[in-house]
Amino acid sequence: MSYFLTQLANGLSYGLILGLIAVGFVIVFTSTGVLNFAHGSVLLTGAYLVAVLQDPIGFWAAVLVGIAGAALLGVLINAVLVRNLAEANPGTAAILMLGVDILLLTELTRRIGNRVLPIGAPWGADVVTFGGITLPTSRAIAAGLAVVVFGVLWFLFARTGAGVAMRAAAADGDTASLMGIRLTRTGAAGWALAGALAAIAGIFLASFPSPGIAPTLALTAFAAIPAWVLGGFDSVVGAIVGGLIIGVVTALAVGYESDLHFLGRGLGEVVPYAVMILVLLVRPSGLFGRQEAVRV
Amino acid sequence: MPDPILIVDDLAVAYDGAVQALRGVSLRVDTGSVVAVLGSNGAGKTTLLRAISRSLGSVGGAVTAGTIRFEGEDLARRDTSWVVRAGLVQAPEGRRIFRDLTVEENLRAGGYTVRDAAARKEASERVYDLFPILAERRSQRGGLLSGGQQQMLAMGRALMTSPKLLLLDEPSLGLAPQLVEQIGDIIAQIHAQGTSVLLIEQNAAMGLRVADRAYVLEVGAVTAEGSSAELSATDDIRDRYLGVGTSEPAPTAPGEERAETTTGLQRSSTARAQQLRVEDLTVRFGGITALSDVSFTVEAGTIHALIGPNGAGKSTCINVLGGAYRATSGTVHYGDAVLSALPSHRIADLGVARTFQNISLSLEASVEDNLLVGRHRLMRTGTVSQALRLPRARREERAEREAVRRIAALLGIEDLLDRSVHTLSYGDRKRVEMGRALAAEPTLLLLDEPVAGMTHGESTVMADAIRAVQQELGLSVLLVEHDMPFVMGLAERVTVLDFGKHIAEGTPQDVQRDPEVLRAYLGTAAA
Amino acid sequence: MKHRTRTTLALAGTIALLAACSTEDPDAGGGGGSAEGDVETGSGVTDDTITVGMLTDLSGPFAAGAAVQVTQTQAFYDRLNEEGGVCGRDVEVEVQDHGYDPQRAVSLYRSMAPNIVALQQVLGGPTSAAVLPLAEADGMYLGGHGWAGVALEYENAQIPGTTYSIEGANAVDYLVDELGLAEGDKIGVVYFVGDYGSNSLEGAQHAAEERGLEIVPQEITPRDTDLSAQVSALQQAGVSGVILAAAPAQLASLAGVMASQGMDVPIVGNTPTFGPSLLETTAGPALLENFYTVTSIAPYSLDEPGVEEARELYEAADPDGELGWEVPLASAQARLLTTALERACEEGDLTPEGVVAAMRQTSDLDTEGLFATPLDYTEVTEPPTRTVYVSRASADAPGGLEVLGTVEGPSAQSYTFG
Repeated sequence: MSYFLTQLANGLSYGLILGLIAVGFVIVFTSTGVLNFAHGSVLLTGAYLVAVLQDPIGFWAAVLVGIAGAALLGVLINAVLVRNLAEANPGTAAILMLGVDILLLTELTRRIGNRVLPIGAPWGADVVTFGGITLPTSRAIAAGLAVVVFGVLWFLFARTGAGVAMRAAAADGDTASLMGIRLTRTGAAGWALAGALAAIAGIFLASFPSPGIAPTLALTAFAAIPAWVLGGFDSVVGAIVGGLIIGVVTALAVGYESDLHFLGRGLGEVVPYAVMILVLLVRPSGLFGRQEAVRV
Repeated sequence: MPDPILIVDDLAVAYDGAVQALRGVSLRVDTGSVVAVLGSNGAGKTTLLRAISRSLGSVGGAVTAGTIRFEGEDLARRDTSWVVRAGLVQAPEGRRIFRDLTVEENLRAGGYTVRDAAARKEASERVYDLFPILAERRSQRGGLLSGGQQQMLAMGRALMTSPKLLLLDEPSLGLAPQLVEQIGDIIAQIHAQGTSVLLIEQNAAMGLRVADRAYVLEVGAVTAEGSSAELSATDDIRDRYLGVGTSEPAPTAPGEERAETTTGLQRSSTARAQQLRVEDLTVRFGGITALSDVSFTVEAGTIHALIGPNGAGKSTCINVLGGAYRATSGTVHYGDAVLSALPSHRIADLGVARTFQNISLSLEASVEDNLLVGRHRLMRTGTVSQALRLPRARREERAEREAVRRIAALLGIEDLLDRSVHTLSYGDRKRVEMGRALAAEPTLLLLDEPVAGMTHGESTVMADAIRAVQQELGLSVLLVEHDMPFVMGLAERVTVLDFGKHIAEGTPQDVQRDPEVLRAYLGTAAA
Repeated sequence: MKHRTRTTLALAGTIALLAACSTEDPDAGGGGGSAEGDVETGSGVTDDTITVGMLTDLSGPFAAGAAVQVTQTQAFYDRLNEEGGVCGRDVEVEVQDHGYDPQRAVSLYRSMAPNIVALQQVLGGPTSAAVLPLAEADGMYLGGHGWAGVALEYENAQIPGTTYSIEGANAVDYLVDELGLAEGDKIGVVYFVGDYGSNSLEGAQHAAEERGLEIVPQEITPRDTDLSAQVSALQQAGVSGVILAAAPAQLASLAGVMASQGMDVPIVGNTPTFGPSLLETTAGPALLENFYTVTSIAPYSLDEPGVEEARELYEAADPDGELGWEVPLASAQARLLTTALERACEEGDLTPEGVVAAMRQTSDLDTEGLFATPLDYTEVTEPPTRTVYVSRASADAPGGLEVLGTVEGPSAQSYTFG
């Protein structure tokens, strides 16, 4: 039983981190209509900044720089590339983002090499134990922080003028601009927010039980794509729930692989996509995809 | 003469660098006045408003000549955001409220440019005073409001910045007669509070009632202007926009008189219209009961209207018939088939076609392509032979294009076949949508507000077209519409809904005399 | 400090690359067969130079380690040339960067093949798998393409040491003979799916059968850097030891998570699993406690003349460079190739085919400790040795590994190829 609970706790905490990444995908998509395939390298950039700066300026200062750096990188990508696209074609933008991803990733890979850069977080390799469940401290903190971040996001989107403006712009940009809302600003804000969330996720993904920053970290962002898709492309809540589902299902699939060996090895790789496909078969617009509530 | 707040001088606008939408348009709005712009669909009214609010860019339009001055300031180099901050706000056509946002959040978004929290609070208090129903529903999602409430929200949202000049694009569109009157009163009230208003209205009676001055826009140019009183007295205006004297037409025996509009439409199958029986239909969304035990029958080959105030459940009913919503209880029979148990594509296979209140067309595709999509159900050749352009497929394609052309001619949109839909006005899009439904050669046609946003003259053309296809294809028509002259002149039977309940049924004459209907729906306008 | 190291490293790699490019001689391929001293020559050999190739990864995932090897190789040949070169000629290295892209590796091979007499190294599993068949058709010596068993099908392939499967078998033998595992125990194998990890798993599975143990396999990909779920599963299965055929990031996670879950069992890794930078991560203490590695090539810190010489060369060439098994490996590969070139020269056939033939005549090559035993290349289908070094993580040893000894266990001996 405690084995199951441990795997469940692992899955939930990992799922919350995936949720942070998936929410970034959603926000960029709703604010600028771009499928941001460069999200992984933005994440890696944020985490990389933390890893190289934590020695000279201290971990917490490095965290701030990392988050700000990733946010800024997002804003730059949006300002320099996305906004200048002649045609707002989602396909073109997505392919452009793939290109950006390859460029950033090549440069970061060159800098990181085949070493593993420690993130230098104060929680190190500590673990917490409660009720027979052992969870890395970093994961426990990540889970708590993710919940706080989601709370802050809720407050931002539901209670502040800027957040409501972003939602309005996402729902109907044309009309929102008639209200004086500048779409360039809501777009930039979306990219910045997504970058910051990615950096936070990156810090925890590079923390124990992972050893540190390695170029493969960028690929983890792709693990959040099934979460994003099954939650419904444009739903923040869907991204969070999707992240939790993928996290838990992956952890359980790996944890019980020996009992599921008739399905073959390497289940953890396949299961997220299988779940995504199953969900989409039943609900083609994802769990929380926009379904117009119309009553006239 | 009072100071003008807005001067438009010799304005020209083109779309995609080619389609000339406005030519040499000049108009002025004096401070503290209400100015109405009348005109048929495609005349360029919305284009004019977009040019003033600097929002042409997003629809591919550009000012090619002329100037717009707001309080003496040339707007040529200004963007929407600046214009809003300067005190000029547009409430867009079709309400365009943010459906997933609550009423309160919609207003918040409207007041985005107001930095001062106290001023924002004051503005929202004013809006709630003006529209008490919005205060009641402040935490409800915008998409759940009725059409009238949505229009109020759209206006309230625009008022959040306390604008000096308010641009209103078709505020009465799709509203029941009673509500149209109410919107008119509200405009007068907004005006009384010191806001100047530039109003676009297809409901010329309402427009002229609230406006001090009016302009008539036709095919991109101003053809008449003057005080509202002057214009109301003009014969031409009365004929084309007010429809005075034709509001009570006896349903003309259509057969003989309309013979000359024969269009050569022929069914490519032997499908025949069937009787549509709606029995004890109930639909609930969460806690809201949209329809409650509604029963009525549409006889094969007749035109049947469903009327009632906004929020009465008319669209819900159409949506159930078309398969978009599931009935909570009750059944719908079409001939022997049980519609309420089928998914929407199976319903389409039975020969049921529909149009939508909120038009759903492929915006980038041409009108012709949109109509051809409607033919898809009837095409015989497979995708492969079409892709290979085999002779049989080419022959069929020619035949299909010819059929589409005839439908377009019938609806008066023949000249628009090559245009892409996003360049069309609301009314023209309605006609394209109707054409697409007809292209499928249905035996039962469900029309959701087919003449919303059309002038009197245009709705007459539409009525003729509906009658003609009904005769030639022998189909049944069930329509939802607020335009009473249109309904009364066209329908053979009318069912009236109110708050999801069936309150009256009968011939148009019977229904119009029913006191219940007068109270709930028609108000004083039809009395 | 770390940052500076990295910059220097990258710089060193770049310089080495530039140097290699600048020595490219457009006429190198035109040597022809009319050489002095009755030596027949072919591509890559002129009257005064012998050009050898390196197809490596200077811009992809293995760029850092590859740069170390390029530096070391260059230093090796510089010294060799000072001492008179081979066959009266200087040896020059042409370095090309395939970026770990097999497609690019193939086209680079095509373009460099006419200019070289042998390929000292193609770095990476998929890249060498792509180039091997082409090189075989050309009769071109191809070295150091990783340690996967598939290489044993090729006449022209030079395996530096032994295969991953032999490493895996030896790992099981070591766990049983030295680390206290017994018949009936379970061993977890966490491996990258593909020619590297799967090959190691095969060896471990053979050994487990032989010794009466049970293998609990856990397949992962390079993307998995959090092995919590895998560790929990291994713990649940009750394994008494773990074999890892992956990369440093996976090792750090595995060791860290195992420690955090109180799983105090040994981890034995294949050659590519360890990197000295791991000891600075949070997994450092756990690695020092439980990590062992079985390697064909000697660890950096081994006190044997061949390794000492390699260290000395490297520290002169790049005083701030990262220390690791790449250094002895590059020296060893350069040495193997030099030996083959010298023998080919003696035989009077300094053509690519002559070099391959010379390699295949080498039956008892002493590498002064760079490999655990003398190497025997005479059997194509046999690895040159079945003995590996066993080392454990150490905070004091340069390169982070301290050598415990050599192993050639019974299962490693009984493992058959094919």
